Amino acid sequence: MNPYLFLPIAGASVPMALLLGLGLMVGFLLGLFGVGGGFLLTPLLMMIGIPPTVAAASDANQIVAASTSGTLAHWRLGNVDFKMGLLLVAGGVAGGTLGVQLIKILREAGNADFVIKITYIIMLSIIGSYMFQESLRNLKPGWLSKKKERIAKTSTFATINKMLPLKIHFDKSGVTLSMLTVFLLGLLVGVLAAIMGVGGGFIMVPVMVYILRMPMHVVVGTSLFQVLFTCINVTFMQSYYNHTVDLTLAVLLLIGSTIGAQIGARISTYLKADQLKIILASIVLLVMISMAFDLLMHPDILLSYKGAH
Amino acid sequence: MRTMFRSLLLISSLFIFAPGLHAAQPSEDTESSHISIVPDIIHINAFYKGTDVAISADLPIDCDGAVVKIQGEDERITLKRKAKVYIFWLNVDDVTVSNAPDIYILNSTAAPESISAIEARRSLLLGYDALMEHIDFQGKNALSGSEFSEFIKLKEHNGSYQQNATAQLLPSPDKERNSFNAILPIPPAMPSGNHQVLLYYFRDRTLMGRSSATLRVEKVGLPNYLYSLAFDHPAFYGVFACVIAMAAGITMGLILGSRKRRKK
Repeated sequence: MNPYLFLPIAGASVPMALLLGLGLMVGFLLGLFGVGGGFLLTPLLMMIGIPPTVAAASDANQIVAASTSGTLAHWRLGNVDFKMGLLLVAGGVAGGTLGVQLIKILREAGNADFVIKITYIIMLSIIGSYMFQESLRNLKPGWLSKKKERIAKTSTFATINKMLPLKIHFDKSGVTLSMLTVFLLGLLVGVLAAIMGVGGGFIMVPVMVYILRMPMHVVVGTSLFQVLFTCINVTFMQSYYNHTVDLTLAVLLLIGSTIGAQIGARISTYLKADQLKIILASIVLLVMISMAFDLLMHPDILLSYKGAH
Repeated sequence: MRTMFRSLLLISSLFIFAPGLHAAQPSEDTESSHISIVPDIIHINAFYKGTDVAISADLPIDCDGAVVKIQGEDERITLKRKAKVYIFWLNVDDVTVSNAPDIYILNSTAAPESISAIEARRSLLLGYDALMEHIDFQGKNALSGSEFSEFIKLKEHNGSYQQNATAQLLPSPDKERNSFNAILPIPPAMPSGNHQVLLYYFRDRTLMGRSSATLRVEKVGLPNYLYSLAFDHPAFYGVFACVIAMAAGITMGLILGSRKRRKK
């Protein structure tokens, strides 16, 4: 017997086991990589008949639970850099506000949808392929010579960072950076997250690893901390302005995702950083391919409700 | 003076809306038959997954076709239209759909065009063909001809629109009446409120009579409470949703965390 649950805001009825399973999978990814899963779960919810706006808003609500659980687990393991996290949150909120305005202008111009989709594909392919290539290279012998080249390349960022004022040492991450650098990177991620309609974890993680040069395990905990605040903001705004948060849907997803996040956080300590990166890169590339495929194939229905990607 | 004005307004509104109250009763302009609906009240609780409503009626022996439908209120919605831009399929512009019922569930003994004349189908909105003439599409690139079929596909996707020809019309054992039986599948997306179930029966493609009854759909228990909270107190609902999520995350973290510590 597979009981169904009626979702009052979505106006749909869905098998409970399916929602629990989806939550478990997304929570697992969140605990393992610090990636919110918004880019993965929202399309899956839409596929099972949840209206797009309800799917995105309820997804943000369940990520609040999973990221609370994940942040707690990583905090216990000493993997959260709160100082860095708070600066990124401040930049992310400012960037998110800027991004929302940008989307409004693009919508009026009539090409917002194209910009959103192309941004998605470009960002996913850059992040996915770079992470995949980098991790593969690190696992190969003779990696040291390539590492030297890479350090030489990052010196541009180091030079810019040196020139900027308000330097601060982040003990947990073991890096010294200008507060402006961190804020501006948070701002950039916030703009992209608002355009793409996601929490921003999957952009934030590569930024912390490859630009801020933070250790992978601290990256995951700190990203979760940032995702938590972004999603609290989204949940409240969506409830207040659009009435699109389905609490029944979110609770069922979060039961699965909080358990999944704990399992993911535990497993992350047993895996090497490069193994983690390769798995995440593969997921990002798979989502990118599926989105590109979606854009190229003739859709089943040529009309859609507003809010669908 | 103000009280007198209010009383006058009340009395006049009773006169204006009185014919509307009669609309729910079986119409008297043609023959009418008693229509039975089982169940006639649908309670949408936490475990509701849609249900079937059985419609039955005794119709005159000489009728040769019947149609039963539930048709919701006409609404105006704006949808996104997809089109190919270079090699990509994208949402390119808006299409505004007017006069489209929010719910349209029809079951007939045969295809509506084979049991009723075009005029009756148009005036009673029987079948997708009649609905096509009723619904209006507006937009920069609307009316290319494919909007209606795409709209039907979209509505059929969540069960809001359904058209079947599986109803049965069989003579009773005494051959004095025809027994009509049909099933109307009610989707989870059915709006709450009173819905008119309308039955029309025909002889030689001419309307013989009609009958109607009320199907009540209401949210009860948790779905009703959450729905009211979300729309009547959105700020509280937003904070409540965040608190529930954070509490669940902390509880799960503490449970699994303490379990790990015990193992150590």
